[in-house]
Amino acid sequence: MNTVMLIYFGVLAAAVLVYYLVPMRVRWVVLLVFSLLFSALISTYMIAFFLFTAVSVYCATRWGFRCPAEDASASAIKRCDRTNRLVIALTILLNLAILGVLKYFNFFGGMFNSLLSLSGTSFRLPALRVMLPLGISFYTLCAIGYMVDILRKKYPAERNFGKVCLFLCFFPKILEGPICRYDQTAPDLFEGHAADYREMMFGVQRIVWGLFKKIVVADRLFLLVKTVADAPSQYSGVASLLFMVCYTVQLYADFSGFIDIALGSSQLFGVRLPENFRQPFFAKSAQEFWQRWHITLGAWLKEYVFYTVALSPRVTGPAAKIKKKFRNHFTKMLPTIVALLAVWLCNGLWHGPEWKYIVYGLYYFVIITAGMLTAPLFAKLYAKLKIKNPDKNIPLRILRHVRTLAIILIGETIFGAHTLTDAFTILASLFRPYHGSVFALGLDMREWLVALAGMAVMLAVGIVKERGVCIRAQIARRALPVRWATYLAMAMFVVVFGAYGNLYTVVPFIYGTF
Amino acid sequence: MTTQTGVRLRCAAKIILFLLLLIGILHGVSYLLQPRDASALAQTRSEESLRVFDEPDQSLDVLFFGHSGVYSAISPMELYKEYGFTSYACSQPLQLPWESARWLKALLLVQSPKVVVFEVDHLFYDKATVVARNSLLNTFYDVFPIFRNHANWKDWFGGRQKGDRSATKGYFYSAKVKAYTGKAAMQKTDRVYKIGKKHMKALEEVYSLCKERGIQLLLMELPSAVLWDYSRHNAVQKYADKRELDFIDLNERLDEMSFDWKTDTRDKGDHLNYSGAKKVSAYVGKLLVERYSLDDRREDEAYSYWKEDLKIYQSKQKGGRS
Repeated sequence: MNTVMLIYFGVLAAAVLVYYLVPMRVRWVVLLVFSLLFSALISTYMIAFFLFTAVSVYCATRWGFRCPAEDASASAIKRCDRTNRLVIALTILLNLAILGVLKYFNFFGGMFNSLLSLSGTSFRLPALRVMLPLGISFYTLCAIGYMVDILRKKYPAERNFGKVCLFLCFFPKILEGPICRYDQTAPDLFEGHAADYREMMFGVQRIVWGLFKKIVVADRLFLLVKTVADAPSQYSGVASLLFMVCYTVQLYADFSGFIDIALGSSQLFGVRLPENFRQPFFAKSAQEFWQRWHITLGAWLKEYVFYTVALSPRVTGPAAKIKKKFRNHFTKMLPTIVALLAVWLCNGLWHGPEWKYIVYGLYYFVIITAGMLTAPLFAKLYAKLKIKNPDKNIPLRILRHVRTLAIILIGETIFGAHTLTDAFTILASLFRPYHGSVFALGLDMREWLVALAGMAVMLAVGIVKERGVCIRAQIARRALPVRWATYLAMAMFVVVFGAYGNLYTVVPFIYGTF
Repeated sequence: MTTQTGVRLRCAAKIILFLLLLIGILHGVSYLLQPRDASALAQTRSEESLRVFDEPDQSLDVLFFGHSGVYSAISPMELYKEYGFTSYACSQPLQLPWESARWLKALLLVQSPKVVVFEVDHLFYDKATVVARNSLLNTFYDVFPIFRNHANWKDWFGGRQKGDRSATKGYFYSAKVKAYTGKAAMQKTDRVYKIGKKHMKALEEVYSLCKERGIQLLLMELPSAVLWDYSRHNAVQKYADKRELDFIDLNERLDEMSFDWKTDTRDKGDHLNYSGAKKVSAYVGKLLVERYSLDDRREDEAYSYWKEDLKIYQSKQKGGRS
């Protein structure tokens, strides 16, 4: 297990203990202290960037923000709104600049240097060698969302600086999310909760389930993924296909596994965080996939990028003019398409300063836009084929599932290969035969057996959850011996079959690096 | 007693009972996963290190002991390829001298090496945090050996084969280059670092084990730009003189092996990369053959499996990019 997780579980155990020992009204302070401690242990001095963000957000929303008096004139209200917008916009820009410099400087600097080399000048921007503060991509989004919501008057600004800090850096969510909205999370975070046996047991179960996904499935599949990703030109056919499938499952098990750990951990404090996954591989379209995968990022981009762009007069104005001139389905969709382009560019860039992520974002933009634009054509086709309800037509549903899975696999290959060129090498090699053994790709037969068993368990749990059954509640209803036998079996399975220890590679959480 | 207190007590009792049951089962399964040979005595922290016990008995000519510097700098397969003798890098991250001593003691039940190379840098792992970390880990593994031996579940599907050897023989391959750009040469000094009592005791144990069995003990310091200095060199030299042992500090011979800190380290001078390991292995191999006249096993039929392992090792180097 990686060091960050060991520190995480150490902090979690201590925080739970202290949380229930102190009086109810100061329990949120315990969460704040342990959250800052966790960030300081991982980020060391880089925690200063987090503190700067927290201070800037607090100052902008508390002191920079003006509410007009009740009897203020319309012009005074307008002036006030303009000032508020300016303050919030500047604070957002400042925080984006920090994120931009720390995370994207080398990427854009590299591009700038390439341009300079073309012009023949010898000047080059130096590379920035800094460690990223823990969870910067996650807490920056939370901070921006909070400020925009205050500007949109969804709720009043928080008066307590400590509480703003806690919302931004609550330790179960700072590593990989979920990306929370203030009004979703804050009440639960700040209210002291009494120890609840059932909630705590549910929390522990969810943590064990997350560990199962991460240690048994994701870290084991990593062995194959790394083998192929490190030398993509040496593999083809089945080996390349196995890479695509295994990386997709690894990414899901890794990311959703940590989200399970985060949600289970916060449940130990009685805090409910929003879900981030809803059986994504059962989606029937790329659009639906993104409603089930990394839900909180999708929701954030929809709320703060999509609507901002789609409803902006700079987009709606020209779009209305074009629509007037050319009346067709495409021109009707134009503001949506422009907003989607912004969303997917942001999605790609948010994942990291690499071309493959930008292409990954644009890949989904093209697919989802194409889906929207061709929707009327398909409606006509279904009518011709006399398919009254396409959603209930079984062959069509199977076809859609297969198509969506293929889209997902290609997308994750772009995402998971070391470079864009490697991704194309893997995709191009799919139809060349592979003459080697599947047991020579990093997983021997016994490892394969455990990996397949793990994936089968995940699939079974997914099917049950898709039917709306809460497995934890179902188990909780059983007699004590059955319950305990289930818990013990799960825990022992993780301990014995987990891909940890020196025989395996330590695999950091994939989204922890974003 | 109020109803609420009663409920709380019942919950607490249930949790305690559940934890006791879990610990009991962990111990039970630990027994099922216990290695059944000398490797159980070694009590190493890593499963990879246990693979030295998969080597055929009495088949290793040289054993290297030390911390991560050893598995990064010494490639037994390069030694075999160039000079033909068989060896193994018995090292784990942050290995402490008493871990080396315990490991050697266990290995000597099944191997009779001609030479033991003891990397001396880990004699200076005396920071309280490192000692505490390893002690904590070892205690944890002693109480719950399942966490050390859990991968032995593979035995349940066909059993651990004696031939399930490591092709790298303990070496860790890395082609990464992260140059060291600090001072190249060590500053001479008369100061002598005081080796910790427990560390010295472990070194003495290694010395006695080798002496009893007529094994040549060679003290060696591998290239190290970060931690090594002359006060440590002097401390080891003093001990070597006292026990009439050979001591070779490769930091004094970097030029002889064309070692370059700009290209031969993967993490700014702390560990070597493959390029560095090849240079060090070539130099150390030549030195060992000349001093201890080790046998060349390359044409020996009994050691033909080394040729097979060499092929796997070489294919890994070609495919690797780590």
